[in-house]
Amino acid sequence: MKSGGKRLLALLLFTIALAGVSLVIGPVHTPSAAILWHVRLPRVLLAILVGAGLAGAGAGFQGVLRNPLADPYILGTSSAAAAGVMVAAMLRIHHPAALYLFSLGFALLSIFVVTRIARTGGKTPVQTLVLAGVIVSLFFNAAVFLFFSIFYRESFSILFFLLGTLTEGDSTLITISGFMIGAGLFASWILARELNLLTQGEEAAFHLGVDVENAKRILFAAASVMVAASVAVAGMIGFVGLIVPHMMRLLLGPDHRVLIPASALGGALFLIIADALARSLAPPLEIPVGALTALFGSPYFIFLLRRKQRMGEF
Amino acid sequence: MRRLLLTTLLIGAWFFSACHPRDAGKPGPHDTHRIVSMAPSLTEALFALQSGSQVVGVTNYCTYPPEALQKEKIGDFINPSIEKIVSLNPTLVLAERWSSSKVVSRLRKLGLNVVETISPLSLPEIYQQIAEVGQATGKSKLADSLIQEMRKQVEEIRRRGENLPRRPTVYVEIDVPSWTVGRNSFITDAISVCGGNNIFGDVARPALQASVETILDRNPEIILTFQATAAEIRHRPGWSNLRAVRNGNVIDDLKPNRRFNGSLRLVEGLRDFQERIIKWGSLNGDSPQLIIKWGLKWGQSPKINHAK
Repeated sequence: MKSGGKRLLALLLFTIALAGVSLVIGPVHTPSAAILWHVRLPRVLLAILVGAGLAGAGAGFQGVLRNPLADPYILGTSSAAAAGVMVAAMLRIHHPAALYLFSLGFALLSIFVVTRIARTGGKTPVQTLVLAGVIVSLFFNAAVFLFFSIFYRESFSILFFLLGTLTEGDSTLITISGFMIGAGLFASWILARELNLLTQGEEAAFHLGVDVENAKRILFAAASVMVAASVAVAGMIGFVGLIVPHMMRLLLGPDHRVLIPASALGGALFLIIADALARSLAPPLEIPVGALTALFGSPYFIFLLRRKQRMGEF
Repeated sequence: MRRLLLTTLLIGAWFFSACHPRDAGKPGPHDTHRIVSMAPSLTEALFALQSGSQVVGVTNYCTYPPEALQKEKIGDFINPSIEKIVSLNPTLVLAERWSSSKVVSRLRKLGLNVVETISPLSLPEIYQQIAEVGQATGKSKLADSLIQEMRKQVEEIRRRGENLPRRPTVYVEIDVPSWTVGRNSFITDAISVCGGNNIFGDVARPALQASVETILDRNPEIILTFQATAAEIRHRPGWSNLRAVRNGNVIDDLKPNRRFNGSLRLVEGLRDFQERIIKWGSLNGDSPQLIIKWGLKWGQSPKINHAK
């Protein structure tokens, strides 16, 4: 824990430094104050928030479900939250509160459904979990595309929303998402000890004095809050929640007291880099950052799956 | 007034060519056509070429002329309902040529007579499309006179545009967030004819989502928006310092049917937009005398409305 703290601090400083450096990266080589202040800074902030939220949620999911393939994107939580956002848009409710309530409601619903489908005999095996996630994700994706094809007038903006983008500049939305993600991370971190015990198995955790059901409920809720807050501002950015917790586990070990904040910082770092690429690769075009993260994420996912197969867990 | 003139001219052109024996109103071989139009611009051209009564199907996007709304809908132009098209029993299906569309080959396999026209990316290509529609429907003469009239009026606008003392830089937002057009769009061509320069005229593609910071960096003098309102644009973070916003040159009220359509109505859109450019010039200190001089040059008094 002691060395963990030092490494965390190093990671924090590195993230801050990189956030600073990324401010000068973009399609405009000599940006004006307005560009720095109103375009790049909100983007970098959003990258930090959304990266931290998605990776924090991923770390939480992976811990509770004892499953290395758990990720908001794969479990269908992101698609569900996106469907919620679209329903709010469809009903022409533009109040920020409604936006978040819808995305949160759908995210919670999807987690409930996925864990219900996947759970067999007190366990959630890898196969059934991924399968249930895929099914729920497909369902909500289909719903999203149904809205998309009916309400074609908003098509351009919604297309980018579906691919994930950090161009939202509304400071109210960024603030709300910031508070939600902060609260979610804090709740997960408070329960880090319980999470550590849960990874030993729910029975073992129960015998070690953990209120298993309650802890799980809070952790799922915290993850859903973070996913909903991320999706509501940035759309569906995939694989951050999958890759980053794994990298951090490799670097800093499995202790969730370190892993949760480390994942949050790592996620921020990852998205800062991805978004700097997204805005500078093909100027003056905007590339959806979600396309880039999925491009890195999918091969990594396959690699993980193969490794698990070799280790005989399937 | 100018609009009235244009309408009169167009009607006159139709009337003139309707008198031509080849296109006479008596039922000829082409009057028995049952036409399905697969693009809004094709629908407009068909109605302008007096083939409206023969149109039996249009896309969901075909909203002009109003009569088009009464026609059967076949879906959108990328994924139309093939069933619906076949059930309309058309003798002619008009489609724009898309490199990616498989719809046309499917329709042809079903034995339908499909004629593909160019998908216009510039003003000359708009003329070409109208000519192709005329050819397919046996209204070539009518099409030719329409094109000639259009060309004449566009050239007049172009001359006026070339005589402007300064060309403003223009950012066109066709959709939120920051969807705009590049070099390969007839809209860029249209802006240029009116006397402006598209700030993304250097990007070799028809449409793109521009990065917001590039827009702020290129600092347009006029913003033309088709979806967002001017107020929405003004309140975007960082946009308040743009020259277009500071000087009140965010245009969101080009009437929907005056927007740059790839069709006959384009001329009206050009006129409206050029008026705004002239207004911009006058607000930016170009002397009124100069403006009046242009007006004299055109033989009409320019409509300059300083009040918002």
